Amino acid sequence: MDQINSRILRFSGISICAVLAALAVGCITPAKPVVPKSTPQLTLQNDPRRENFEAVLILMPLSEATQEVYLTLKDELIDSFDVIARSVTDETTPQAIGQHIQDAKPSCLVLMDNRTVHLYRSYQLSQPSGTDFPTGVVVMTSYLGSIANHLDKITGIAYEIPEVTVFRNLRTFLDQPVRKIGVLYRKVVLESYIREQMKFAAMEQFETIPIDVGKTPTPADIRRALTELRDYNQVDAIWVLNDNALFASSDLIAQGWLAELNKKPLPVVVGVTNLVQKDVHFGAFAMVPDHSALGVQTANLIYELADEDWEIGDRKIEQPLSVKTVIDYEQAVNHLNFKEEMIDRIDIVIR
Amino acid sequence: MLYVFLHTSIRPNALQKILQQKVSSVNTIVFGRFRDFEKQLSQAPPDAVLAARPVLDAQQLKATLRGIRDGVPTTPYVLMSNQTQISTDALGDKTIGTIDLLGRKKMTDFVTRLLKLNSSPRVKRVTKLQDLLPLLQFQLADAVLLSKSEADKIKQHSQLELQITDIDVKVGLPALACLTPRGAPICKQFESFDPTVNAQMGVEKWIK
Repeated sequence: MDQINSRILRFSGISICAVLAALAVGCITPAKPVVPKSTPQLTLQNDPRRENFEAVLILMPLSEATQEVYLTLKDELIDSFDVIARSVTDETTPQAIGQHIQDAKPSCLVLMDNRTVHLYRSYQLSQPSGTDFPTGVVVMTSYLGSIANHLDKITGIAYEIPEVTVFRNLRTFLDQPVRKIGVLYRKVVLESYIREQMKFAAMEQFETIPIDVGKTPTPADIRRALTELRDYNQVDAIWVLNDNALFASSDLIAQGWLAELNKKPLPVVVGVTNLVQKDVHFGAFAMVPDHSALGVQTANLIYELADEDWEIGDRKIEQPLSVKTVIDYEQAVNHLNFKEEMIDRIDIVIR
Repeated sequence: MLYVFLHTSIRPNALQKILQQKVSSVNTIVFGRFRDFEKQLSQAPPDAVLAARPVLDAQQLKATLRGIRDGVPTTPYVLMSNQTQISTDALGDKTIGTIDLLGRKKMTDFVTRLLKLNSSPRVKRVTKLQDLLPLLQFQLADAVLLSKSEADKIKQHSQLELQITDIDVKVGLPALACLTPRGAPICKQFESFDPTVNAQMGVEKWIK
């Protein structure tokens, strides 16, 4: 994996949220880092091993999101497998990963989050060539398609909600055309991802207009790209990718994104819940993974692999099936022709 | 307590809010996932259960009220596929997507039975009606099994070349099982629901 890739692979939206929060109270001084919500109450409960039950070993950091996937996954698997979970922290080493595998002797490994995947890759690289690794299923990892090729015996489920799912949903919510979709991206990093997304989107008659903002975009690059999409291409909506480089500073957000988006409201769909806020109109909608449903999809995948004697074969990375929708109600109703009758289909309404 | 395990086009919390307003005598809990529903049903038995008829049957709960639409308590089921119509002659080696009504094993048996197959197809379960279409779009299933009315709704919202295959099978519409004396008034309230509320549950009215 190159350095550029590793930079986009830990998108959390946390720094952006700090900036948006600062903008909301009228101060755009450099935002203090926001400490992720502490989750000391989260624990992993492992049941005693049973005879003749194959093991599924789950390696995961403890967070509300991973916990939700874990609980559903365990629930779905427990009748057929021993489910063993081990937490991954900042202190976890590749050797510790290897020890967990040696102790559990799993038929299948579930790896959650980029940090876990990077540790597992280091562990694989440290082993002699020809080592037979357990079949691995990667979930909750950003831009998995670009990582999976670097790992042995791995499949999984992508974490980003596909463009086609996002805009098919949006089309049902709005009483205005949603056909031309604009997206800002870094070609050097995400070209193949965008190409795949455009292919899926075209099946639903969406036309995607991607604008390359360069490897290290400036606020002017962001403004120029948004202006081009809105005024020249006349797009119907903007799709915001989860790429940290597009939000690397408060200037990029305030003088890039918001400076242009505030001129004329457009449906902007983001991939992080916290980017939909009532005080700063950035994303009017967020479409994010449904973690409980992701647990079911992961369980389905594990059962299929078990049926195939844990062979990955030519299996591709699956797209996530299920989304949760967040809406900035005021923005959507007052400026974007949101159909009021659709409100019962929205998971989180920000008023 | 009224437990609801029903897949509709609105979110479970929205359905819960609607039903809680209408059935104020007891608390209403709407479940989105079969395992959660099944666990709660055994750990804290409710006064009444509202679910699709196959769910009640699988739990051996007797329907007190049956929802009806177009005068009947059943709805035709179909297979929906993308681009190519699926043949019912060769379903055994196909992957069939479906809403999870009964859990992994029972759902596979249920699908096998509905499709009149000798061997079980591979079954991909999803938790929401909206997730059936992505199964087809991303080629994770060869076809999805669902009610004809839901298939028609999905076709309205998609530009994919979706094909419907009639399988000549009908499945029971939502039904209500009243299990305790406290559950009896719930039945009365259901019978007086207005058409808008009933429509949210995919029925026109309730009969004994």
